[in-house]
Formats: sequence, C-alpha cells, structure tokens
Amino acid sequence: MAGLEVPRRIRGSVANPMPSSSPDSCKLPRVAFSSDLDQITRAAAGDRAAIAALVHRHSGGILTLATRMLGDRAEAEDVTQETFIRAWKALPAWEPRAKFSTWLHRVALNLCYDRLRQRRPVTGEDLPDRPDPSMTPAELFDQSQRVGVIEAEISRLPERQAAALVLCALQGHSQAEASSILDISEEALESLLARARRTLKARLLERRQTT
Amino acid sequence: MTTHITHARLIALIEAYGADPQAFPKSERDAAAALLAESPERFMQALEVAGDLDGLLAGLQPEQPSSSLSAALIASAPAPRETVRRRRFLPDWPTWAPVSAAASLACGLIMGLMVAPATADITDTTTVAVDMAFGADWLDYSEDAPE
Repeated sequence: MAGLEVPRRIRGSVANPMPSSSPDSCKLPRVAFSSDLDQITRAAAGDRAAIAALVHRHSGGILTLATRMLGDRAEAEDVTQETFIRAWKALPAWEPRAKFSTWLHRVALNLCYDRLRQRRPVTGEDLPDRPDPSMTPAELFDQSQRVGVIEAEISRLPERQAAALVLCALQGHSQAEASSILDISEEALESLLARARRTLKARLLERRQTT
Repeated sequence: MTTHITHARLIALIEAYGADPQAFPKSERDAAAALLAESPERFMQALEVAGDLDGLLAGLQPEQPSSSLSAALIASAPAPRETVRRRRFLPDWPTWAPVSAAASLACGLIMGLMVAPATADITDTTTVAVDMAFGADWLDYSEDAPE
C-alpha cells in the first residue's frame, strides 16, 4: 500500500487488520477497506466495522505508548480513550496530509505530556555521568525484577527522551515516522535516543548500586 | 544511500539505535554493516553495552487493550448519520411549503362549498347564450323530418 509505513514490531495491513487482542469485544464482520482513507471516511460516517477496525489497528500502540510514558496502566487507558474521542471528532474533516497513525500518536503524546507536567515541576533534562562501561544492567537485576524496573525507569526519563525511546526502540517506528510524531528533525531524534539510552543505563546502574 | 561512514559515526549509531544495524537509518545501514564486518573488534565494547540494553528493552511486551477498553473506544464513536430521503414533490422547497399549499387548497374548497347556495338558477344566462349561438328557435328543431 503506497504511503503505508508499518512499524517493524507491528505487522498487518489495511486489508487484513491485525487480529483483535480481545476478540470478544467486537463481533462485527471483518471488512476489507480499499485504503486508509476509505477506512477513515467510513468511520467518520459511523460505519461500525470501520470504527472497530481503526480501534483494533491503533489502540494497542497508543496504549503501549501511554503506559510507558506514564508508568500507570489506568492513566494510560484514560489517555487512550481521550485520544480516540479526539480522533472521532477530527475524522469528518480529516485530510490525508499526514498518516492517521502519526497524528494519533502525536495526540496521545501531547496528552501524556500534559499529565506528566501536572505531576511534577518541569526541570531541565539531566544528563548523567558516563556510566562505568565494565558493568551492564543485565548483570544487575534478576529476570523477575527487570521488567518492572525498566518500565519504571522509562517512565521517569525526561519526557522527550522517553517518547523517542518508546517510539523507536519499543514500538519499532522508523526514524521518519518517530520524528514526525515528535515534530523534530531526524538528527534531533537521534540525539534524544542516544541521551535516553545513556540516561536509562545510568539510572539502572544507580538503582542496583543503592539496593 | 551512504556508501561509507566513519568509525565515530558508527559508534554514534550504536549509541542511539542499539546493536542491531537493522535499527539504523536505512540510508546508512549498508555502510554500517560493511564497516562492522571489516573491523568488528573496534566496536565490540560498544556493541556489547548497546546489546545488553537492547535485551532488557526486548523483554518489555506491548500492552494489549482489554475487551472493556476496546468496547469503550468503539462505543465512544459517533452513531451513523441518518440519510435524509429526498421528496419528489418540490424537493428544493422547505418541508412546510407543500403541506401549507395543500392545507390552503383544502380550506378554499371547504369555504367554497359552505358559502355557495344549494341550487343556482343559471338557466336565464344559459338560455341567452345558447339563443345567441344557435338562434332563438333552435328548441323547435326536431329530428323528425317535416311532414
């Protein structure tokens, strides 16, 4: 499909949407749509099959982004719902100047930023000292601890670093798409990613050393 | 497509994108892979550090929406727009126009019937009109042949 860029970790297509993660939630028949725009146009007209297809295609990615950014599943679900409410309002006037996925992620990210700023005062990004290269985070935690610790530390990253890391390293968005979502250049994205990885590693090391 | 990258650039790519060249920008992937193959020992430490973090990140699973969340997202979408059937009679006029016209006609007919007398003597007028048209003695005409 021309113009359709599928993130590396997410597979599927417009004609064959990803299997629903919750098949019992919607028993509407699967419909093949001729294009993204067709699906959006139908959803804007209230076509339930098109609406369900959009939800199934994008809700997982939005929920993942929000959960990693906020570190709280319940809050992430609120953000996901708010994101889609805004999407439904925007659909009737939708013009395909940007990919729907890009726009949706941008809305979700801004909602996450709003919530994060309500939680804590805005400070400058902290660049940690270079970590000791002889130690690796994988050596510091056992398997059962790792996932929770990493999730917590990602949500503690400066928000733009967290966003870049989640979009690229976790969701597999290309540099072009991630920089479009973040509304920055690809060079700026690369800088954010490098800092995010450095910050994350330093904080994981710091955690281990204090336990 | 970049055909050659420097040692420093490859280190920068590893630090930003991780140890897997498939995560590098498309335009630099081939050149990066070539340099790695050429002198892997120069990048061993950077790859090990980056790969370690990659492994930790890979352990994070994507979030799956619950059935209740999916249902809520679908339910929050607007209901289908009802299609308005176009009238055949005066389609471009407002709805009240033909109704109003029909009501006016009905009222007029009723009023006319109520006001007009039950019988009307129209013979005088009719007789004069016919006399003028056919002659005064037209009533004497008979189909029977004169004898």
